Amino acid sequence: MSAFLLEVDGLSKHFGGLAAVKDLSFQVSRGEIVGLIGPNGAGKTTAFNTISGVLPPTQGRVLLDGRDITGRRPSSIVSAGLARTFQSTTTFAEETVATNIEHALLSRIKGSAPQRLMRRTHGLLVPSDVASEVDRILEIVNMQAWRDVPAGTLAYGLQKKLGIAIGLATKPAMLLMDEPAAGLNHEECNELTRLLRKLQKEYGLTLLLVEHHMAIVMEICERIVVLVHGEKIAEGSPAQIRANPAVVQAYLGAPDYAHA
Amino acid sequence: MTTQLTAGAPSTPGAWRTSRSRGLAVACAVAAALAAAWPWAAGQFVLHLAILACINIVIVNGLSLIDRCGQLSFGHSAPVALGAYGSVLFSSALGVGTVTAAALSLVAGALVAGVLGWVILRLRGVYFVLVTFAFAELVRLVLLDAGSITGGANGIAGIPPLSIGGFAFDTRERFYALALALAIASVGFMVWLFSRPLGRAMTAVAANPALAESTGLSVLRLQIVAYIAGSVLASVGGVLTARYIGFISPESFATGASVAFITMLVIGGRKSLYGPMLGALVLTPLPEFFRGAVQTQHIFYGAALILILRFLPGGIAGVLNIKAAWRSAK
Repeated sequence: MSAFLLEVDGLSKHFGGLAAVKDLSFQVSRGEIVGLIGPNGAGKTTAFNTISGVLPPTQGRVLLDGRDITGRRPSSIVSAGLARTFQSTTTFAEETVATNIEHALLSRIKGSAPQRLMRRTHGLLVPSDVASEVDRILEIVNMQAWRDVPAGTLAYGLQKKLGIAIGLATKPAMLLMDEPAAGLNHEECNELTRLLRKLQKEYGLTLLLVEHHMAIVMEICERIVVLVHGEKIAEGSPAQIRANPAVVQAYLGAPDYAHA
Repeated sequence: MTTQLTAGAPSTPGAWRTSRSRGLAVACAVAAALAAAWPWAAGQFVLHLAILACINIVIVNGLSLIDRCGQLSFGHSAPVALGAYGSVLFSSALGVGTVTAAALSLVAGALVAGVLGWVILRLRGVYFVLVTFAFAELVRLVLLDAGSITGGANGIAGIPPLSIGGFAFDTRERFYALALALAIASVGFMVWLFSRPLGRAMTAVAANPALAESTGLSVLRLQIVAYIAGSVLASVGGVLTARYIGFISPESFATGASVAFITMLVIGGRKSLYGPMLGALVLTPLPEFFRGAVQTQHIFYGAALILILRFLPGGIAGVLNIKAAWRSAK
């Protein structure tokens, strides 16, 4: 067992001449909630996509529990225990909520062809347990009432919550969340905060949030990494980040820029 | 309905509906069995069309399998051609029996599909469509140019019929039995596959590849499996075509054939497991009705395709589903 669950080590991603992420390093401990923040265009999403395997990094390494997962396919990274959610609502829109969860369980069903194809080694389910696993996950996100509703007809906030449930169904050690609060109203944001706390406390899940919504990040994250122009400019507790002049300048804009 | 409600448990509305739908299923099965048996009694011409329809059912099921994993092949004539030429050439070159040659051609077809799929399934949407089209043209041109092996534009004539352990499928009556069995088996295979986790994973990949990938399903691997299975089904259709017609040439596997398979899939219904069967059954005999208008039959095809895409996106199977839904809602 490695000291950190996730280690990002000197990660860089260049698009042609543009360095979207430059030499990014940080660690996430087991059971921690860490936020990755920064103004628009700071490289948050690129960092997210590079860690989750959607984009191959130009340089650097990503370690999950000490194992190198750099450059592996997204499905392989999920099978290793690092799942992700999407910024926009991403569901199997024509299927019911329950079927959405069932789809997400497919690579875990012991002895099934998808499982053999993906060679997943942990969190296996026997086929007869699929229905109860669906119920268990719907209960965690409190969505039992929508079990048989087509996902595409759900309200926006519920579709985003279903996205989290789909991520949970893969039984991850760590969940990467791409702007979970984007587009949610005040009440939904409060519920999201409660859900994320519950995932941490009751299920021991480690969370990395890429988020714009400062109130949520400050409230829930134990540690925050600040990215500006692809580089890490600060890292620390919410109180330290709030008091950091470089962060304040990056978010509010330097006077030179303001007058330009 | 009220009497049903006040009656005892066995005749609750649900049970009544179930028994009625069971009766309907039995009636459908009997009708289908009679329809499948009818060609044997209806003469050589109907038998001929029925055999071609069965072959098309197998081939279009293969196309549907690939489509159900999220990729549309515009070159489905290529695996058909490989199956047809493979089975004939293996048997003449190696001197093996027709069944062994057919099996070898299917294995070869699977290998080609595996290697090709591994390369081209990284492409999405219209790029994949274009590459499959180009590959089918490549196969056709190679068959055309390798005259010393394939007979070039003249093709290969006088192909002996398929024979299993001395029993030759050399009459239409006998061949129809074989083609019908394989057509039913291919539909059964599709229904079985898409009720299994593997088929459901393919459905998930087709519905949302990015989300499927992020639930741990490898989109590439699943699409390669689907592409191999779909190509093998097409090759089975190719073997049957060569052994039934007794003559193959590159022109039998031109772009027109690929278009015809897609047309059958779309008109039958892409969403339904029975769509390929319905499309093949309706479109295979159709040219016979336009015999007097050979020049204009493609205009009718095009017009039919446009109308179906505009008004019946679910195809024929979609119409049947709407009727079933309307009946159960009544």
